[in-house]
Amino acid sequence: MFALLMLLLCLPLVTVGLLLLLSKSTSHGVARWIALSGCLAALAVSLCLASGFYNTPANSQVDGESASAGPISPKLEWRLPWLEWGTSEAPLQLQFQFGLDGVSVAMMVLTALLSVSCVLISWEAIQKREAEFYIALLLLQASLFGVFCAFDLVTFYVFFEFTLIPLFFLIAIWGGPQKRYAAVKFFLYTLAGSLITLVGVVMLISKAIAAGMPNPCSLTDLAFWIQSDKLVLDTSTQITLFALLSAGFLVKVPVFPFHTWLPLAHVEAPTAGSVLLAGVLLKLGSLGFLRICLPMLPEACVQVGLPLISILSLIGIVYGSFCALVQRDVKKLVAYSSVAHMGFCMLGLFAFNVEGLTGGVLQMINHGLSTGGLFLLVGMIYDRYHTRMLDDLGGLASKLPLIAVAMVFISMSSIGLPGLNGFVGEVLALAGMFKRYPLYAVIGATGVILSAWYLLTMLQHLLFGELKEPHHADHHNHAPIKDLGIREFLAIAPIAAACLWIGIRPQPLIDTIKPDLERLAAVYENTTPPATVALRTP
Amino acid sequence: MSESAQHLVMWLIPGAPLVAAIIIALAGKGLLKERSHWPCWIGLALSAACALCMWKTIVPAGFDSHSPAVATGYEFLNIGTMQVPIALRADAISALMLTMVTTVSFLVSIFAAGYMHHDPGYPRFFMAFSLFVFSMCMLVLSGNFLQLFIFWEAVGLCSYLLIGFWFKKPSAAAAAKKAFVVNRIGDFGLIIGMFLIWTTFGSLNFDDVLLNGAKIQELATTSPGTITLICSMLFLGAMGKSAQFPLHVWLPDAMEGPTPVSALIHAATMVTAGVYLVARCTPLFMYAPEVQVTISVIGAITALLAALIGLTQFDLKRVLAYSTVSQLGYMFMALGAGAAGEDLMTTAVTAGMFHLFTHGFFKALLFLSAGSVMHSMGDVIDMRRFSGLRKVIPITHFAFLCGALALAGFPLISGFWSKDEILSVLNKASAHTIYGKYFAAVFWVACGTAFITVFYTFRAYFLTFWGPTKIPAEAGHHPHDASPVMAWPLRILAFASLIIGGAVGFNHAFADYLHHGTGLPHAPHGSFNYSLMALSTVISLAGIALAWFCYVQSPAIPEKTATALAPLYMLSQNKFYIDEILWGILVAPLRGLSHLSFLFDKYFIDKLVDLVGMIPRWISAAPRWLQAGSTPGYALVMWGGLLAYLVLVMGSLR
Repeated sequence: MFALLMLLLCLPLVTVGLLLLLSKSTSHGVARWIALSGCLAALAVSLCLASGFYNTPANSQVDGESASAGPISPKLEWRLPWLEWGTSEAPLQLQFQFGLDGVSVAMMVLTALLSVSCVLISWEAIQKREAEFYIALLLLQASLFGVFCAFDLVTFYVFFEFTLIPLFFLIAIWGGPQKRYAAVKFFLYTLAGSLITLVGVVMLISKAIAAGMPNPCSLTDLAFWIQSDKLVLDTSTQITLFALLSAGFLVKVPVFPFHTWLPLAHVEAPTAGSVLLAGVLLKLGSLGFLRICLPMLPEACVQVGLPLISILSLIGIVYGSFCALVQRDVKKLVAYSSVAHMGFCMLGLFAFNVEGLTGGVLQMINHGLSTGGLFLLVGMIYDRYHTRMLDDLGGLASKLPLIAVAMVFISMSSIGLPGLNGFVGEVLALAGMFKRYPLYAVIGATGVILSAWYLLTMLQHLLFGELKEPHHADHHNHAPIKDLGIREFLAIAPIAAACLWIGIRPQPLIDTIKPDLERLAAVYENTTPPATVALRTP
Repeated sequence: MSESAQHLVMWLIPGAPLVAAIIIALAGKGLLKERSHWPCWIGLALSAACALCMWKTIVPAGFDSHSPAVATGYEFLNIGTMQVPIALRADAISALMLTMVTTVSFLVSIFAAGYMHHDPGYPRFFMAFSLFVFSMCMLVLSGNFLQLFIFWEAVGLCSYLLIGFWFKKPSAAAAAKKAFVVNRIGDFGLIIGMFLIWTTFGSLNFDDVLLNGAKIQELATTSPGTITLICSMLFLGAMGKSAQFPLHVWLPDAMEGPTPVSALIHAATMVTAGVYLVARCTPLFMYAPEVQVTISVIGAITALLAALIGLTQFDLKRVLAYSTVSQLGYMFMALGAGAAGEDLMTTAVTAGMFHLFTHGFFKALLFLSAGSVMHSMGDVIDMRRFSGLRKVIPITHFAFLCGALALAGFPLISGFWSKDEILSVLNKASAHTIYGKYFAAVFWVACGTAFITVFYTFRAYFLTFWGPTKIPAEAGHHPHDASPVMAWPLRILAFASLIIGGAVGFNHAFADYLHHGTGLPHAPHGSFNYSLMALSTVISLAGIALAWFCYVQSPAIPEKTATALAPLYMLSQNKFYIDEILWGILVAPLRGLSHLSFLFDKYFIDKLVDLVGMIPRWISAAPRWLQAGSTPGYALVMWGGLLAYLVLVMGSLR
């Protein structure tokens, strides 16, 4: 398993190496084939990893020290000592710690799946500096794989930050008209947030060293020490740490009012960049909460996080939906819908019960699938008409029936229609929050009405009614405008299939992530009395 | 019947239409084309046969033990205390609904093959149609609230797809969206109600919630507010789906869909899902009498309002749509009457479900006849543009007449029996000490609405089929009557509409049936109230006579009345401006708020971010002159530094 994991981490880098070696010398069009094979191989490896993970019995340690059964205890774990100092009485070492739990496996498969679609959608669209484009894409993929399987603070933070660099180039080189401004804003905004997080990370590590922890960076050990009161963080320290750590995560998610970089970055990014940004990158923020804030800082989460972040998420749900309703640029509309959908995710996580946590994590995956899919489809329309404006387009269903079918399908998944993936996540996130604070869930549930409103309005203008095409369509494209091609079909079909599968049969996925979340929820069982009396009658 | 055979039969009810939908989706465009109706026909026929089998044998097998028939499925969700299977559960109410749903669907699907002939979206139509029947069957066969919610929304999706079937028409696209979004408002209520049930009962299964009388009674004494809240939220869901005031606005617009869709989804089946939900949850509603009174009153308002609007519409399908809204109001009036005492509970549900049952048949018939009129008139549906068609399209005329008589409650025909039961239960409820006055008012509204119903139904009938023969140009020279494929469903439904009410109404078959496995108390055996029967006979005959007088005998009267009562006429013609009012108080402000939000985002939050981004520049602006690149400046600083250093060194040497 470790070999597989390492293979998955290295595969994108090997592909990058191949691209560097081969692309310069050979003709146009080689790079994309290399990138595609690299991404397909990564997808295959990630699926092997997932099946291996699924078949591994719980609590089996493969390598390294025997781990604790704290709130974070991945099913598989590997530790590689890196730096050692300190005395024999007070040993101190830094380790690279990699692990696999349900969340990481699910997110890695999602990343691998979306990457393949990203390469396919960029096939024709990227003509300029092709090899460099795919290098950036693959580096992004590599760092995303890294962050999902990192179980120590240093590795986590390094991969977390490294994702910025390839995405910065993706936006700044291959982006739209305002690409420079968007790239710089995206980079500086998220970097500023992450640097505050870094202060929090350092503070947490120093507290751990002060408490005499041998591996002050290990997330598993930290969580275990805190849970078993070997490392005591009083409430005010926790709140300080929470404030520092969450800064970067709040920007990344993004939670209102730290979201303004997102619509801009999406509009300017190339399709593949948008897909990965919305599909995977935003989840690093919620993952940060899930991996660091929730298990380490329970008191701060309940006292500060719950009221603050839940309310901000609720504002995000309603306000993001309102903003989405009036957008004329489809991509911007989908970007604002991300703000709303990630609000559901955060609402679920901050319910702290197993239903809510599961809902939040499912929402991470579902939002990746449905919003990734929507960006792909918007990209396909943009490739044809060179516009995304609702004022220039209309009635496309009569000209592009298959794209229209796909668009309705993915939009329904995003709306949270039962039978597709979005529903399961939303209903569990809301149910979890309903158990904690019914009022918050009631307000959040209005998002269900609003999301139907703005997405169906978009469908109505874009796909239905009289056919309306931009006047310049014929001048740009000499070839007639065609419906979904085989390459595009291959890009969108796996996503649609995953949406349907999760929607109809969510339990296998839930079983994958459930044990980790149950352990995490156990931390919070005594913090607040359970809102309900479970009643089972014969 | 062996258990595995029972499971097979039960699963085939929703399964056969699903398989049909999948086959049409995969092979419709390439292979089946104009034969796409075959999988749908076969699937629905199989489904109807199995539903009848279930109604006759499987469900009654559990009657003695009051246990529902179940067919296990798979585990859908199992996380924390949220444990939800996808499985089938059938009791008396489900069996009743399913027989109606599957038979009507089958007949409508046959009609649709003729009606939709030559439409370019032929396979798409039958795919969505089969998918709808699947979802509707699953909804009715749900054993828990989450599964019910899943298929509640799934039928909404099919309705969306079918209303917007002719998506090139902007009005159809708008109507589809409106239907979905308005329904979502109701779904919001349903989802909150579901969460409340989950947190109070710890389960979502009907068996743990509705059949758990002890727990409900305990709750009713300890926290009656919870039950009231649960019931109000569930009713909000029902209002959306069953088009009750003020959420009824989507249903008339839904007539943009093909007429078979209007017949099946927007008249006979899907819109009755709300009635079904309230009937199903009556063991809960029993302990929320305020909510039940509200249900009755809202039902009465809806029935009256829709009937008044129906009086002046000229679009034949819209008249029928408002009549559907109005009849759904009747069903809710009946369901609400259960507030007047526990012994009335089952009678009330029986009346509501009985009307749902008969209404399904005769309203489907009326819509299909209207579709047949439309088909022969070249898609013209405005009643001012044709008349005197009874000789031109005799089969359709006969079918429409049967449906109209049933809707009008003509003595001894379907609607007569079920409407009479509703009036009788409302009459009994008026005797209640606390809520009696409300029910008395509702009773009189029901009687008045019955009269208006008869009048507008026969207005439509006389306008279309009597008077001088007038045929619009779109119909061509020789308008044709329904082809056999369309005629036979009409004949069968006409027959059913005539007799089905009498067949079960005459001996109170329903009253003795619905308490099986539903958690309802056993009702005392019903009896006929002959004075009420006389009253409704008078109402129906008077309505028909008045309509005949106004629209056949002296056709100038309606015009004169309309001008004499111009303000009232305009009010009705414009649907009481409810659409406009809702737009004004809800949609427009929300849209305005959306624009404001976006402006706030663009010009405040984002500018604030940019402002923060400027701070480092401002800070660095102050010392910038030091690094401005002028040599004298650097030299000056250098000399200054050297001087300071020298002073320091000298000072320390001393």
